[in-house]
Amino acid sequence: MNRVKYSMVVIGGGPAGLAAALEARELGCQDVLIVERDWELGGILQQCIHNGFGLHLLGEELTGGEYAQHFIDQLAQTDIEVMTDTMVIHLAPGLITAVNPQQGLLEIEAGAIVLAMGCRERTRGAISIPGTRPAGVMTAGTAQRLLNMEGLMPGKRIVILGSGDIGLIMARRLTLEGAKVEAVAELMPWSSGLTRNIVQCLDDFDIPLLLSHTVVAVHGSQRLEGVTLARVDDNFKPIAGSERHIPCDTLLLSVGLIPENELSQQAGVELDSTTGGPLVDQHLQTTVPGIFACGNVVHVHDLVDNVSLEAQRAAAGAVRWLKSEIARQKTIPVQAGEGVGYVVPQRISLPQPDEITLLFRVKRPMVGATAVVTDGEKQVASKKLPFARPAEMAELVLEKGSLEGCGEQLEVSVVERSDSR
Amino acid sequence: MKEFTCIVCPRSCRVKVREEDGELAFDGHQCKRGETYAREEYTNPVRILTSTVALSHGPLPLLPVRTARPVPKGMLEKCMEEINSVVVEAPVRVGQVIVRDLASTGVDLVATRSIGRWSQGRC
Repeated sequence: MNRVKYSMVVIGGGPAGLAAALEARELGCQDVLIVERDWELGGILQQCIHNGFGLHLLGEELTGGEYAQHFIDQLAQTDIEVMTDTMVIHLAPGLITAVNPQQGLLEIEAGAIVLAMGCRERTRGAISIPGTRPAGVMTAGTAQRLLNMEGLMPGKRIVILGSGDIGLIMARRLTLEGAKVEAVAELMPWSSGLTRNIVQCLDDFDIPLLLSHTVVAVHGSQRLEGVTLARVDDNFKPIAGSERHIPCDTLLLSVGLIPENELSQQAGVELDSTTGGPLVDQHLQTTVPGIFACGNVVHVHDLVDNVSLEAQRAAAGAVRWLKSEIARQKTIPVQAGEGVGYVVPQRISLPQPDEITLLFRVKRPMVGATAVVTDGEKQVASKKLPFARPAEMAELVLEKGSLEGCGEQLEVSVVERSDSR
Repeated sequence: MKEFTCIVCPRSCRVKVREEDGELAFDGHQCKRGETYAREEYTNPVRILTSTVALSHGPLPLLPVRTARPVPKGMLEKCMEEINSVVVEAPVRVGQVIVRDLASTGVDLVATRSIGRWSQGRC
């Protein structure tokens, strides 16, 4: 069997993997390898042909491909090695087993490992839609790949379930390519997509957004012939009598993303049941020493800019770990308190030599809210959140030294001003 | 009367626009940016158009493209017609002009990724 050795191996060549590898090289790591299962780098960005990427990090609004190209071009200027068409089939601490058509089975020894495998879409099975099993029911991302990369039109009359950004983007894209998008149905009373996408992808083309609605039946035997939509009550149960039938040949699902952590679990990495990703500390180190993680494999991001930044932090952590520079006298948990869905990192290693970026999501839309970090007794940090939405990740920075003398755990909560309710 | 959702900030104001004696009147916005946004959306809404053109001799059958600058919203359909008639040959470099003056908008259509030349397609 082929056996190779690198100081750092990054699994996945999407936005997280690209940024992590580049940062590690920049910080002086001599031999860095990216392992990518697809035939090219860039990951899911290559099928995101719409614009809106990179405004925060690169200061211009790029398409997904342009954003990926920016990093791929930088990578070409370095000696970072890339194995494409290479599938990691087993992961253990310090040892990766992979296969590719050129080398066959391959063992890769790694000083540090950065997990950057991203996420995958929730499917029909994950949300248990009743009805028959005809062709024409697929995830929005599948339709995006078919239409934008493979030149295949998924259908002519479309219903979209879920108002996540991919679903909204696909509503516009399919309309421009000549399909009729009948409606976007959303289970929640608010959209999980960005307002800009609702305006420019739905309103621009008079596509109705049906909030508090879901698909209660799928019809057709060979090909999808229609769906039944119904309004739901406060407990998300369909309201009898509110059903309506919409003829269509395609149902797209934009109902959430799941971090892809089969490899992480093989290596013994402990996962967070809320995010579905590894439990990490501020260095993005997982519970297995020497294994770091970043991007959508840790938690699903809404902006790729945040993925790249998180990847840079993970790379910095991995480089310091390789130099035995991470001191870990103790670890304290960071918990999601009132109004908060989750917080990353979920734990903080002390002492804290640098500032720490906490990323979190609120549970429901809030106006005039304040995020507060406490250690059980006293407030450690706070930040005003004028318009907090679950769809938009919030950020709070703990200044250097702010955790000196703090208690045994931290909690992040978000409360609305009483007068704004 | 027309109503727009302002997308400048997360407040997402609903701005109403009315024409009164040849002047535009705005209502519902909470800052000046909302009025500017609604005025542009009412008088001359523009959008960046992203799509794909057919690609020959590449690893994929399609090349992603965008308009280099925003084009009038009313021209999107005409632009798509012209985009759908284009075939470009690999290799292509990101930023390369694919169509000059797309559908007489004065705006160029440019490639949004680099792609090499392949003897056999991948999919």
